[in-house]
Amino acid sequence: MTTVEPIWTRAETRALGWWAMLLVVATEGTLFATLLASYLYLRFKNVVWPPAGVDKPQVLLPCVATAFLLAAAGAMFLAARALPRARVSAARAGVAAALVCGVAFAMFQFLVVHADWGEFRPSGSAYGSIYYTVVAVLWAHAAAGVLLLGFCLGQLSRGSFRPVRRAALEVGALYTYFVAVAALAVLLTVYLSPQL
Amino acid sequence: MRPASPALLLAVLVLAGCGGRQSTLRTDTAPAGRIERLWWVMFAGSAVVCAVVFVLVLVAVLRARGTRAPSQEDGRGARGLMLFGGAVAPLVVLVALFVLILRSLPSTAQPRPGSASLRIDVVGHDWFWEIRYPDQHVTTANEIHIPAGETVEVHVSTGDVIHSLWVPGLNRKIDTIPAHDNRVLIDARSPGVFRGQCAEFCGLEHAKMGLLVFVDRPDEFRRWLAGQEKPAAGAGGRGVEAFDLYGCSGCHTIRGTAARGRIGPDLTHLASRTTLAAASIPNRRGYLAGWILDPQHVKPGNRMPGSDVNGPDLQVLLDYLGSLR
Amino acid sequence: MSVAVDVLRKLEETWEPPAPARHFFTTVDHKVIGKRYLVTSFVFFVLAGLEAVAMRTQLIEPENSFVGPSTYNQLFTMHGVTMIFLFVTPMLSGFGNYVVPLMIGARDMAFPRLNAFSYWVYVLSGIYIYSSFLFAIAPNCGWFCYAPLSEKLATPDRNVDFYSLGLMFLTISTTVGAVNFIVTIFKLRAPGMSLNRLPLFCWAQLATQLSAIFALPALTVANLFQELDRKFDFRFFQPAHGGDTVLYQHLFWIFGHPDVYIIFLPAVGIVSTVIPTFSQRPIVGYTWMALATMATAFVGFGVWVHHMFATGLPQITMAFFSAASLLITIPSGVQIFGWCATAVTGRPILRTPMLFVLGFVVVFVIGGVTGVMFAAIPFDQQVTDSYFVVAHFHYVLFGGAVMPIFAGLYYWFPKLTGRMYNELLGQISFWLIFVGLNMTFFPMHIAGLLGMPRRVYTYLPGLGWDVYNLLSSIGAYVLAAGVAVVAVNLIVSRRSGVAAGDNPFNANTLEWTTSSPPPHYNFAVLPTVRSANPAWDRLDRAEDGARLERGELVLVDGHQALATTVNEAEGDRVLEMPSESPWPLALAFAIGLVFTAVLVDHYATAAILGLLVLASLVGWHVQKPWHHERA
Repeated sequence: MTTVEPIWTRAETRALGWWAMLLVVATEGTLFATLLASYLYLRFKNVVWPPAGVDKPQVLLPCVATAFLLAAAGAMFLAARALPRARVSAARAGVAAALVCGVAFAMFQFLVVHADWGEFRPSGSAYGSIYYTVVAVLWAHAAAGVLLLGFCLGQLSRGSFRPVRRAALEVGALYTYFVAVAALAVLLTVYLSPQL
Repeated sequence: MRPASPALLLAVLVLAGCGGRQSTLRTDTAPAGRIERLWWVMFAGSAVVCAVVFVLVLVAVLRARGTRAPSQEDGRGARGLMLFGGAVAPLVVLVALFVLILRSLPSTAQPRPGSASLRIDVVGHDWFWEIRYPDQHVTTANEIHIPAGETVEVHVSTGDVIHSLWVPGLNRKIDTIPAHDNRVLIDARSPGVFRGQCAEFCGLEHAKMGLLVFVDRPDEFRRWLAGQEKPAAGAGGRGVEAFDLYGCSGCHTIRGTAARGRIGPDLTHLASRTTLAAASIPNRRGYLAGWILDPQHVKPGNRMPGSDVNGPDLQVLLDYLGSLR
Repeated sequence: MSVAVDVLRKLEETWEPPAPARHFFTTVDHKVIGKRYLVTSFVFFVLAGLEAVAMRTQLIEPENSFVGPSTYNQLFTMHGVTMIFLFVTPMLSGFGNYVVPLMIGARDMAFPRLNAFSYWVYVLSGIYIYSSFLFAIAPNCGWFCYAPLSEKLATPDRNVDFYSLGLMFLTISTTVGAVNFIVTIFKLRAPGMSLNRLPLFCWAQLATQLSAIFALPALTVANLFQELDRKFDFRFFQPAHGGDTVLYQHLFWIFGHPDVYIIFLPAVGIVSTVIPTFSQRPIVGYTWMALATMATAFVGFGVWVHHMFATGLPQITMAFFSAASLLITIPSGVQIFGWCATAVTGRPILRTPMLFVLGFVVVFVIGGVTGVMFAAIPFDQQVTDSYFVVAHFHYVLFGGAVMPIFAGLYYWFPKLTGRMYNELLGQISFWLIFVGLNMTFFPMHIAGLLGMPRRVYTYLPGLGWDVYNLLSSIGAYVLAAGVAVVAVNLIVSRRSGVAAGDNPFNANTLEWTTSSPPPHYNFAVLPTVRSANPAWDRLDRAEDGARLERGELVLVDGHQALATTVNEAEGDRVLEMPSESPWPLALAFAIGLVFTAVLVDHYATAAILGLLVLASLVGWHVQKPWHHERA
């Protein structure tokens, strides 16, 4: 039996998974927006912020941590550009770099929180509650991103270049951009705005 | 296939009458009256809107029996109906309604602290109302007295969860929110009795958290207030002993005695109140006896435990509480 | 051998499901999943209905003792939670699941395994929440569960934990489902079905699912904060430590108000589908209707504060939200008059689905005008939290969502089962429901105006409420009878109804161009669409038949579907769809176990079970999506 194959082929079509990730980014982005809005709501409900007995948050380490996520986003951007040009090893290097940056973020952020944990607890104040929650949610999203990048790396290491491998990379890149932006928003709101 | 026509709806509502002492349609203040008038205006407008739509549905039903072929185009009439009836006309009506709303807003605004001639603090608890007249150092429960013709600012707060003070005949409801200073204005014009109830679900006995508001003539009010200011006149002696012996003083205050409990309502002038258990049962000897012996039967889940007061002691207690006017 | 016969045979083989025992757990067919959603949500509807009947029995007279306050408070909470989260949204998802791929001429949803996963999570979360009844600690805080009543101090037992964790679990299903629907509608439409030819049912689903994407996170945050306060002594809602209880209300209603449009809009989609069919003409003002749907969803995000008018907010804030709440009636008004215009300029056929839809118009308009009244701040401040608001939202929910659901059940029953429902029983069910619903909910307006608060397990005599409560309770029994007749009609007709044929109502959308029920592969030839009423385009459908003979657009090399461009629906690429998979159920179950461990405070166990979740995710991705297994 011969059937007539449809012959539309377009050079650049986004994988369905990419559209799905875009929507995931939309919903998780809204989650962060809601958390940060809650932070600001509580901030303006309280005259003294942070409350008495709690120091203003540190700035240096959080900036470093965020910078790592921004670097990860940059690396994924380069990787996503490399793959369509069939430069697979460059793409792999980009993803690996992003993964390392993600791990670095997680480590630095952990150091920040560890220091804070000695100073104040969530049960001490609404400040502590919202601070640790926002930071933990960001950390969880970054951790999920590290796993996702590991999966992307795995896909790229499996040999021949196939469309589905590129889909994984595009999806991973989109997610990485999102986490980087979320981290920047958290940095500005939670770490920098109290300094004002 | 016709549902209740607007005329029938109107008739039913009118027949419903203005209702009992908790009705939003039996009002005695400017704000509540304003809201009531707003309601009738909106009801009339709604009846017209519903009538128009019902007529359209009726026409559709009649067309089902007709023989005209269905048109396949979006005729000007159809489009016009959709846009005029659905957007233009409503927009005009809604703008007019919004103007009405803005004009009625100030009447139900929260009063500025200190702007009224009398201040009352109402604290919501699970499941009763603590009433305080701070300037006169009066504390009572579940029954408010106010003078007719004077402005009263009511500051509401809560001892636990969110309640809502709602006396429909006198004004809108106002939620009692932890750490928020919410206020409502009452300026009743003439003497009467109004009933209110908690209007924010607050747990097991939310349904039985009512209160009464007595709008008194000013001279009657002053007399009542003066009586409330005095400490308990009680017959003393055995009644007070029994009150303490059975643990009542652990939760209740009777000013003028050693009973200083702060968990339950203040009972200093219990006998002056019309009801018990937050306007759930009448304040009569038999009901009070039942309440003391088994409060869980009247209000299951409320915080007052039952007691095993024996016969003679119960009579002593009832005599004593009955003397707390 | 004709090409057509070969094609059909190959399609049958490729899409044939494996043995039923395994197929039950591994199917990813949207038609099966859609039917499961419909049946499961109907079961929850009956449960919530029984809860309501119990409540109305308790309220039939003052100071009744049919149930006590503890039971009553669980009943009204679970009634609300079940109706909103476990019945109406999943039911409408079920319609979407079954109908959308067929209506857009696709072979399945964009992500079939994700679809199966969202069903399993739904059913498991329903079981999770309902298991609380076994321990007599069902959620009892009201369906919005305000702080501080929800805090550990006021509610020490796990009632609230079942609520918060159960909803967080369920939200995974709803979110994932939203992603699936949106991508499906954007990318899997048949060639030629440009966005301006997209059926209004799909526009409604699109608006709904986009709303869900942006509204659900607020609920998740509210639930998360609630659980953190309860489990770990966080202080979000405790003013003594800098928290604020009103924050919870904002978070909840930022979700809660769009949620009512998430409920209403798909029902609107059903109405926009039934009316043209039973008026024998295309919908009036297609573009306006689609715009109105999207506008309602959008503006719906800007009105939430109208649920909080009694909390003591600044007047200027309230005035803004009052204006927005008034404005949002305009798109709905356009739709109501558009539907009426369609029916009036068409030639209506008064069969059961149309009766329910006309009934919807009548009931929804009543609910809509009382909704406008609630935008009037002072009036709201009198009657919010009274039976007046109970009347209002039941009119808009029962009228606005449940009536169209009944219309949809009857309308698509022939497509799902291949048989016709019984028309006489259908009409009887309509009248019982219509009369019952008005009898139950209309008197509540009056009770509310007479001062009866909501959520009360009993009331005192002598306040003028007695007769209205009696009427409402009797109405509830009539309503229940009507629902029973619907169930009987559908169950019996499934077995013994008359054969329906492909298009018994001469409807205009694509699902009616394939058989009833459709084959596993939905369409042998993917249809080419040239108008908004493709089933009425006889020439186009004949051309599809011709393509079958030529073997064109048949996609037989495996489990294949077609992706098209977002705007014009031009061919994009051929997709390899997954067939059966056990991983959706495995992942759903693993997540359920994690939530169960958290419920009982076994966090270490939860962490270990998290590894099971990861393992399921790996299994899912390792399964080759185009691997077709034969029985």
